[in-house]
Amino acid sequence: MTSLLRCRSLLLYLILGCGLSAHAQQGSSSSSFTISGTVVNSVSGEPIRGALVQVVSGMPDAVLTDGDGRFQFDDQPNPQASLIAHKPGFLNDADTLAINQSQSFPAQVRPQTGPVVIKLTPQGVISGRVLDETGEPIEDLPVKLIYVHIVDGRKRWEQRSTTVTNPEGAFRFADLTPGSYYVKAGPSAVAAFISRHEDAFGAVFYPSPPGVAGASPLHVGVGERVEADFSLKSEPVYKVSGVVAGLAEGQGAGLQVMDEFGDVVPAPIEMGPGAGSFQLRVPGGRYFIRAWVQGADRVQRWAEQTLRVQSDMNNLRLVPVTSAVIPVAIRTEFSNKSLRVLQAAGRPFQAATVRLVPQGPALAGSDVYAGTRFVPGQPAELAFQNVPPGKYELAINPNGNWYVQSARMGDVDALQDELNIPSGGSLPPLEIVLRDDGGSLTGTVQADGPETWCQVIVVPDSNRSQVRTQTIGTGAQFDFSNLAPDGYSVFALNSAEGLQYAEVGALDSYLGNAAHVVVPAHGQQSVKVNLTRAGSQ
Amino acid sequence: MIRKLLWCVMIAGTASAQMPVANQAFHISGRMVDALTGKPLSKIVVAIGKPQDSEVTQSVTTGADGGFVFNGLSQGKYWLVAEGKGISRQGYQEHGFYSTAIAVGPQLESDNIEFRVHPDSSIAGVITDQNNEPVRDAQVMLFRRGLENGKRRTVMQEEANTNDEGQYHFSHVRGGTYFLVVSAKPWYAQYVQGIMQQPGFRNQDHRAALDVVYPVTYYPGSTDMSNAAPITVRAGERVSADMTLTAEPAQHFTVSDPDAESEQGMNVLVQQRVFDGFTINLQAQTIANSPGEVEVTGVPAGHYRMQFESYGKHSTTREQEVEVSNGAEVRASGSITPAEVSGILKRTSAGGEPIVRLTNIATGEIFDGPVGKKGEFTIDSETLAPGKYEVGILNLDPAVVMQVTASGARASGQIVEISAGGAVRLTVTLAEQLSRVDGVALRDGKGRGGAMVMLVPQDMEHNVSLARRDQSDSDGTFSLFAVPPGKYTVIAIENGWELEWRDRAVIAPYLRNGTPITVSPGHKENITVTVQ
Repeated sequence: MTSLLRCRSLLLYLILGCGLSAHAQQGSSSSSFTISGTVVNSVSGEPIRGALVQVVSGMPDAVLTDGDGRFQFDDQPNPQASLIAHKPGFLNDADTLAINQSQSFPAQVRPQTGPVVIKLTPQGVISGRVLDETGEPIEDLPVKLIYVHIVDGRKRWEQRSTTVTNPEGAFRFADLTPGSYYVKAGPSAVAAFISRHEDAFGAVFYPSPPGVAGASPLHVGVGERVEADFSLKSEPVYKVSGVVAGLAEGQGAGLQVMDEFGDVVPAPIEMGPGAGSFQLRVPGGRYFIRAWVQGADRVQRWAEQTLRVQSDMNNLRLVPVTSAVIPVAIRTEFSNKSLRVLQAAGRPFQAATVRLVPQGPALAGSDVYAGTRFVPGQPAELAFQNVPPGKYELAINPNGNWYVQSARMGDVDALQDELNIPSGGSLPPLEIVLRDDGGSLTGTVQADGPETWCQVIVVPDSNRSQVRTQTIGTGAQFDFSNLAPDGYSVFALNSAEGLQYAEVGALDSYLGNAAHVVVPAHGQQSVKVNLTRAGSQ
Repeated sequence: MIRKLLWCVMIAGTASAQMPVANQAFHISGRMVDALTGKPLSKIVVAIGKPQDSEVTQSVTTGADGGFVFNGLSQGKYWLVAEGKGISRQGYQEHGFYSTAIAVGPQLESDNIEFRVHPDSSIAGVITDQNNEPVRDAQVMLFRRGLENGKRRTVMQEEANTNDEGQYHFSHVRGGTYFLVVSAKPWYAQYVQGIMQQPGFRNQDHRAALDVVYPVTYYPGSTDMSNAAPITVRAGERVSADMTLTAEPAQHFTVSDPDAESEQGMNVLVQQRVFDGFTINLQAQTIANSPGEVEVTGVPAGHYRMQFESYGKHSTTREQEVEVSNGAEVRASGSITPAEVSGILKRTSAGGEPIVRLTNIATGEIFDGPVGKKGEFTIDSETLAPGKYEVGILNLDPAVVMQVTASGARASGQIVEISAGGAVRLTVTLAEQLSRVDGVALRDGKGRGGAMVMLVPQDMEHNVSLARRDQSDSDGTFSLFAVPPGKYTVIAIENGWELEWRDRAVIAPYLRNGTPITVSPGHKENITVTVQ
């Protein structure tokens, strides 16, 4: 069931076939029918009252289920109707609708089907309490819910929602789709407090050991209620003051403090008096402080520093340096020279979307996209601008019938290795080569048992970083195009979450049983692969 | 003492170290107690500072007996403020913007202070529907009945939304009298609207069951404001207030604009009045039928204020009271709201970017008009409803509005009464030379702290904005700032903080024993007032 939950696009209407003989009754007119049924909780089987059931194809009608979860539509003139159901606290029908224990899709009703049972899948809940070291509840503490999912073969964290604890220290996140979540409590907002000496709570991840390493995700299954209680230790609040160097009188600077997870800390920051001077207060702990200044030339300058706050810190000096500008050169190689003539000047600009994916702390920053850079007196060029210093991975999405042949930055193979962007300094251009002579690969997945979702993974022999994936139903065909001419290992995995293939060694155990196929330039290959059950290899 | 920048506190890390060594013989000491129970409160931070600025000069934490001591103080006045777990920041004898500062010096009593603080209260509950199911995303509004600018009013304090279990809560609530108002939509309304508009939806029973709305509901569960029950919250109390909403049929009615031309469109805003001019915008749905006619649904039967905004060739906003029932045909015949409120500001100084502000006395709504170089201004008056407005000036310190005259409206003092339709032109005269009135409030010949001191202008009704207030400090002294020239009476009232002083009848008996004063421009006055 869980694998079905992943894909929103899955069409799962309840289709009532024309011969609903077991149940369909002759209505007042010779061709009208009555449809009746029950809406139930897919986990507990309990009827759901007050659910909205709607006829979406057929004669428009809608009704709320009664106290026993029952509904009925009379006088349906059409021999076929589709129903959907809604109820707060349950996943939307299109994600999960299944009938009469059938786990297959699309959900088909056989003519012998009796009263219809629509199952709604309950959403999950994470709730808990946050207490201090003396067992007293902590009120008004921010709590964040972070969803973990796999993008480009790598675990990515995405902030889903935030709340604050109530007077009992309690918090609650409802309406959760099944999956893995981190819960982060704190840091408490450091207000302009009247006391000279103040304690506050730093940020921790459930189950509340210090540091990112101790964080463990909470797995929320279908309709599960997961408890996540915290016990926090207060930290003294310290004053951190200093100056952003090189600012003219009246020139402003942006200043931001992030905790070690890369999350912005709601610390009160005061600027002045005097150009660039600042002071802020944070609970003891590890932080990054980042300052940025925009000059009259519209160029941003950055300064970043790691802080370990254990006492008041004075005379911090942040020296902003010009942020890295990385020119991006995209070369398109045509296998057929006559095509090149068609290529208008500047076209390589649009040949691919190029972005840098930060690899720093879990919640740090968003992707940096390459954009147009105007240099007076020169033609516009593609470049990464205002890139905060840090480690990045390169992501290239060709716009059209291209594949990525290579991407280099100086000596670094940008397809294989992380890019380490320093603060400032001149950097060699990123040189990307795209080619148009890719081949295609189609195929099917052989699986026993009911149809299910699977992830098809295609790994090139020469460059394991250029993995491609597709998620399909086991009955459907996969279709990869614009593959670089190469040998490929192909396998299909019934993992609900997707494989973290970008992690070192993640592919090793699968490649042995994978199908192997060579895709030549402009070639079309097809392959059949067996479904690998997660954990069974 | 008036609270100015106070409590936007910065911490002066070195302030006490820099104090002169001499003249530090004074101290402030006392005990902190729960205002309700009288029990001592420990582990609460108490801080003091000088009235001139907002910096904390010393802070201590109360001991097990609630005691606190500040030593080594130089002669002068100090404000006193408390904050701690379950105690929102509050000043000594705080009344809104005012509190009593402690004067220290020779022959001044600054010990044995009983600092009575009010612990935070909370109001929490669950909103359910008639089937006992939680109503999620309901808008819960908390109103407080209290004095605002000398008038008893019921004012919206805070708003909360219910969670998936229908729960809401308000923490950090002060003690007082409250009302709860809930506005919500059935969760299925978002789906139902589209479903029922489909041609062929014939099942009238199903339609009736789904085409419903929740009326605005007052605690404990009435849709009639006169049945709203006050919730009395005492300091430190946790009040539980659950409510049930009962769905009612949504009404369908049409609104037509008699003046509509082709291409003319119309927005309809349905507002429900709750307390003292506060209105809730109902989430009505409108469907354009034809130019100048719309169909409106999504509101229960009842009496509403509606705003009809016609747009297209001519833009007008009309307002009228409407009784809504199924099938009603409403003609937008209400008078057009003022086309223009403009005027001229008379001033002797130049420069700055002053703004003329009109404040609706009943609703508190504000309308601003920036003043041009020649003193001309135009108020952004698109939604300016007829009524009484107080005229004030912003961004021009020190200056206050002395006199407003008007054509197209009635004006007196700083008040202008605007009726519907037509253009209004105001002439606003300023007082730019303001004075300060210092004094001491005496009882039995001794300075008395904590009294409400008030500077009452003549013809108070039309000159309320010239009134000034302060709370006397522990030695009885007070200061009234930014007083325009004129004749006044200064009064001091013990326990005067709950008086509806805007009402002439309330304040009149005190004026006989007040201190009359004539303030001349730029002068500093010093007076004595008897505490009544």
